Amino acid sequence: MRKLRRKTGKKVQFRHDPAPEELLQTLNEVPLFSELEAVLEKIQEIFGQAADLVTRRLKVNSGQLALVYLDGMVNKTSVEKVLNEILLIRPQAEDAGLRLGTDLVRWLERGLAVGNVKVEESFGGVVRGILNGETALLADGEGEALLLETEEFEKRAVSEPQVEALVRGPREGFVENIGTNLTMIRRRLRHPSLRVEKLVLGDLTNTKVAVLYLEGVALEAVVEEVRRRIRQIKIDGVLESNYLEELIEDSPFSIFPQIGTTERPDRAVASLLEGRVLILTDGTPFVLYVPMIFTSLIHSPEDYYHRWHLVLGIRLLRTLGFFITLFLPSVYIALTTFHQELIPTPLAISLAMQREQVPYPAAVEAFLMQLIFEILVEAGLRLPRPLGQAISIVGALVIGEAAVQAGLVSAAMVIVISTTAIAAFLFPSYELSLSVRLLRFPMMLLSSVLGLFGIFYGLMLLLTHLVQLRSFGLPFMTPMAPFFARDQHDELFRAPWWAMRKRPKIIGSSDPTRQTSSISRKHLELEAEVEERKKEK
Amino acid sequence: MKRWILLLFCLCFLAGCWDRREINELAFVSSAAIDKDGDRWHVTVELFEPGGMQGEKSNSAKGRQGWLVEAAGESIFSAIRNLAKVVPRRVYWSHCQGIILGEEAAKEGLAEFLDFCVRDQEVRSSVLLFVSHGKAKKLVIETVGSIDDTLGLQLAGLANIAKLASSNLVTTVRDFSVDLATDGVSPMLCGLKLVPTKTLPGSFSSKDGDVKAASGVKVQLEGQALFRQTKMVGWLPENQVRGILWILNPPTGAIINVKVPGTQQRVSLELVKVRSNLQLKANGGERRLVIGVEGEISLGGQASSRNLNLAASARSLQRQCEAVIRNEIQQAIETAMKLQVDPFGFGHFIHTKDPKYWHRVRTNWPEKLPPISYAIEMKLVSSGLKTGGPALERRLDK
Repeated sequence: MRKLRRKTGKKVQFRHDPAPEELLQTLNEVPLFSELEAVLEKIQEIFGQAADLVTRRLKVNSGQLALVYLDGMVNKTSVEKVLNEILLIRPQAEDAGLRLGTDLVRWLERGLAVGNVKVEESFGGVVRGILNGETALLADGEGEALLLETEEFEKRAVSEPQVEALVRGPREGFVENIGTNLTMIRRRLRHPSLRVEKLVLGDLTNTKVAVLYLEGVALEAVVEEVRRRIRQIKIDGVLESNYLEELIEDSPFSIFPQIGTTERPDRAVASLLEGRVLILTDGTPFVLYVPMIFTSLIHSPEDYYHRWHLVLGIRLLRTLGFFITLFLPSVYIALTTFHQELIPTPLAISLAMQREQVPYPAAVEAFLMQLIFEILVEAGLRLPRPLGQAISIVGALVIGEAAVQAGLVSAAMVIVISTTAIAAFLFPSYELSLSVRLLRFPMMLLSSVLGLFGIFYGLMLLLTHLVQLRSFGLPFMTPMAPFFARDQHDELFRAPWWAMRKRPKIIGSSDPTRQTSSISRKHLELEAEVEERKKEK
Repeated sequence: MKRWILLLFCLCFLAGCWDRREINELAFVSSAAIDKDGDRWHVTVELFEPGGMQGEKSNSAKGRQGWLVEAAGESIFSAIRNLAKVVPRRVYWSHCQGIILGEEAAKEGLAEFLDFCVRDQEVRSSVLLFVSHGKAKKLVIETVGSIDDTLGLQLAGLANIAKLASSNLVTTVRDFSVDLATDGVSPMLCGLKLVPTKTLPGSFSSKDGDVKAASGVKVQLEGQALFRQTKMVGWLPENQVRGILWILNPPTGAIINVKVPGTQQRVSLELVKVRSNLQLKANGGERRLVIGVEGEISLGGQASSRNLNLAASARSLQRQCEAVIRNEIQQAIETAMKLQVDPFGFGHFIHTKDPKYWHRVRTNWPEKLPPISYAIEMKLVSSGLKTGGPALERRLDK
């Protein structure tokens, strides 16, 4: 830049004034002019004569009115209803002798068939309203505008969640529209204590964001912390909830997600009931919940919809999957290159036999296979759907069959890598499986350099990191470290619903009891009553 | 945090795969034979042959799959190191199943060998030790294959299953070292012998379907080598080994053959349950050792047509059985006394029960073995799934 300035000899103008990020802020300071034409001209200027900006000038007996809206952002029928009101019904009333004038407050009070109407006095407010799909009703000589709620645009229908698919449970998933998402939560939690705080984030995108919590259940301190962190955000655009996630999480350098995401309204409501805070972002079906703990990552909403006995097995399997996917390749490398004495003799001979034709060390072999697998997974995600199958067949043949026969990898390595690969997808949380897949590589490096010692070194490092993580102040590894005996009812196994009477210890501490003991006692009393009746008979 | 990452980084690249050895760069020892010729140690190792084992397994008369290598040296360690002159891979001992010692080497003393086994980190203390009748090398070289791929695997299998025959006690380096370190026990090792099998049926050939006579010899467990300290002093013949087992490791499942009462026909009894205990009875300055064996037997098979489940014959069978056991123990003790060893560990038992008495007799042990009495009690508990004699005979009677 300095060079450029030296050459041209004058300061190069790079910045637009005011910068787009500050434009709305600046406009907030500018009050509406009283002259209608001037206002319309100014709005046209602000939008740069945008093609989809509609300015409808109306003349009524007593003066001049104008409707301004963005085509495609509004519901045509609502706008027509307003026009009908102004152009057909009003004149009749005025003809009958009523003097309504162009006084907007009187319009507001008696005469517009629209649900929500706001009064705005600055250009900033009007422009913002128009951008949100509201219709601005302006009158000559007023200096204020009515913003009529006419917002409507094309949106995706509610459909089954793609990432968090379940066997048993609601089939409904969040959509991109924040209003629809809010409704889905409201429908499941019909209680006035549900608090909804709306705000707008992103200086250019002006994305709607809502913070939801249950008053009296959520910790006030956490809610306040969420508000504080969100308020500090200064960013040009928020296109997905991850923008927020990265801006407000506790340890931005950690590989583990410290904020939960879900696209299931049932899971969102369950988190609310436990005392967590939800953050909804317009434009994405992924809702954030805080604070989150590690175990939430291996818990699936389905765990609560199946009978409780089965959950123990499923959760144990997932925990096992975590260790398999993180350590299996590294343990294989460590055992075959450093600790051959730990392998049972027949297996050792068979491994040696399989590796006989493989030209490079087990570590290289493992890295190669892992790399090929990751390539296949990523390619499978991006490929056009009809192609996906062809590629997976090629992948299976190339990796599973040909590579072994060509002596590039050993058959045992194929088994190790494919087991690892499949185990990574046991977790209900895609974020966790991504983190673990990534962590696998340093683990493999450590084990190929230091053997089992390296693996334990890595494990210690990992555990140290995990226990010092916080999610909005809540220790990430609760209820394991710190250990809470009470919370174990929903940890590795899940207690039946009639026995889960308490909310999680820290996060649910403002209202620790989930089921009042009287309910449970009633359950027992009922049983006793049935017994008695049987005896009477 | 930054320092941690730096440390990890350094660790990865400074350590640089130290001590790394790929599994296919190793030559796994399956079994080894150790002989001493004058003052030179000879080591013959049987290595697993990974490539060879890939071949068609269905092939007829599956031979041994190992690769045999021999080396010699002044010490046992140098002999093992000299293997590197022949074997193109690192000789790896952790998966060695059994080590066979030549009779001569054992008679000269195993101190050096044992110290090497215990000191070296690769040789496991659970390696099975055997003493061969004659040269150990001959045994490893000449034996033909079994259903296991290598001699080592065959020995490991035998160690597990030989208990059924109850004529051997297979011991490991650990057992040997523990016995050696214990006051009042003489170590012993299982014997191995080459048995010529001229009319041995081999396996069926898959191609022509006829039986091939495999020529050659097979190894067989035979006798027990008795040691005084680290030097072998003699053999306990096969038919006396059970005498030691009754005390050290009562052989459940052992078969005892006795006569049907009143006839010369044989009946075999199976030990279902057996337990032994030693007692030291004091009478003034005198001591008396009581060997107690109690157990339950079941009828295994008989040649007569009598119904042996009757109380009278049961009593006779029990008494005969007790006599056999007593006789076996006595014979074993006799042989041991002759060789001046105590493989039973009587000395150790007396040491724990009566240390003062032990210190009086230990210098002359095992000559000063106190008189022994027996308390053997067997009980016939089952006649198997039937009661009478062989069905065939009954049919003939009709």
